[in-house]
Amino acid sequence: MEAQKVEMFIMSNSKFFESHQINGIRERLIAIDDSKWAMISTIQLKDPTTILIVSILAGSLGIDRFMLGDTGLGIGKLLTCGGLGIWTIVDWFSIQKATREKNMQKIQQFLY
Amino acid sequence: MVLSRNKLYSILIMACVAGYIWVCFNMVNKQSVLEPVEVCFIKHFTNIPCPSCGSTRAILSLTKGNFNEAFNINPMGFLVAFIMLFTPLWILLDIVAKKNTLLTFYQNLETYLKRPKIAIPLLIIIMINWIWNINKGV
Amino acid sequence: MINLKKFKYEPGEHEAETASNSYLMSLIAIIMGLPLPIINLIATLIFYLGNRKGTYFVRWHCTQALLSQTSMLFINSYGFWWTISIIFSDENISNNYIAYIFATLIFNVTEFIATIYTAIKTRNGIHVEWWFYGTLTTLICKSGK
Repeated sequence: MEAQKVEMFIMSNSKFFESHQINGIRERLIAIDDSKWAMISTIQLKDPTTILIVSILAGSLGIDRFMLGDTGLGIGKLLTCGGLGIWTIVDWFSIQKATREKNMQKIQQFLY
Repeated sequence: MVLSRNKLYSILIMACVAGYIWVCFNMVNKQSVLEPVEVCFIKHFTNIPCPSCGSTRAILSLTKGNFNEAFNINPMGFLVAFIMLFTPLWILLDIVAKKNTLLTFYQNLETYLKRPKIAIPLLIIIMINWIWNINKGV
Repeated sequence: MINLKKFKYEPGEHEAETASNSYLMSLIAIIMGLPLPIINLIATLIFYLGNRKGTYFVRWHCTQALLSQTSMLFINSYGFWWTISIIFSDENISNNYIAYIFATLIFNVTEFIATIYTAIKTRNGIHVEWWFYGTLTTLICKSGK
């Protein structure tokens, strides 16, 4: 794909991915075919900040995990009052990373 | 999170072990050497019980065979007790037979629960249970 | 006591964030689970397990946080149960008890300050090694790959 297009994509979407994975994404994007651009530019990526806010407000109900698509973990969190409160605390600090990894998985389907 | 077989199983086993320890701790801690430890954030900060507050007490009365009492405290206790009882067995079976039936079941369940037809009724049930919980002041 | 060192590589923005989070979380967990000394250890352990597949910088700092929390557990839980036995049984407050609690307090405050400092520094991508814990962490945590 054109370098300029890739650069634009990276610039507008860099907050959705882990910083150490960005270079890999850039290289893959340049390598892949132009026909995939339509797909890639329309992927719905989840905003880590939004998920963090949800996690702080409704973390002990597991809503953050449901939003990420981890239904099983969400149910686990809901049934145990947020993992007896401990899991809730841990998730406040790790949900952003989890979101970025989820986004990475999503884009990876199209990159390879 | 992409869950591999081993990862899911170790998470589940750890969760079950933690659950058993928690239940045992609550059994022993009856006469309350410590203040009854409150773990639920929602209840702690707002004084409103969350949908699954009281599960522990429900399980404790289940262990004594008081099914009605357990149901009255919180029906979710049955679900939690059921999961805690059968997951370790299932995992053991899977490990012995070198299969991954639980993983497939878990993945199928996840996609199944995401369907609006299933998710919305479940949500409503949880909400009703929650309202009931608040009303009886668990 | 606390050394600022150059890490093998320059950690990225999000790596620094996660590493800093591991310290920050142990602080929050201490505050939330205040009377019980084990809550923060469990929380740090879960965080560590969640980041076991992370990059080297993240793993290193998670391990250091976990080690420091573990060593605090022994000191704190002994003090905790001693206090409980004084409150609920007929044991009396002795000089030994006061000395022990005082020492525990100093340890905890030191650890608390060190953790805050480390959280701030790692957030900026600066590698912080604690005395004793740093060397131990390097031994435990392999750079791998």
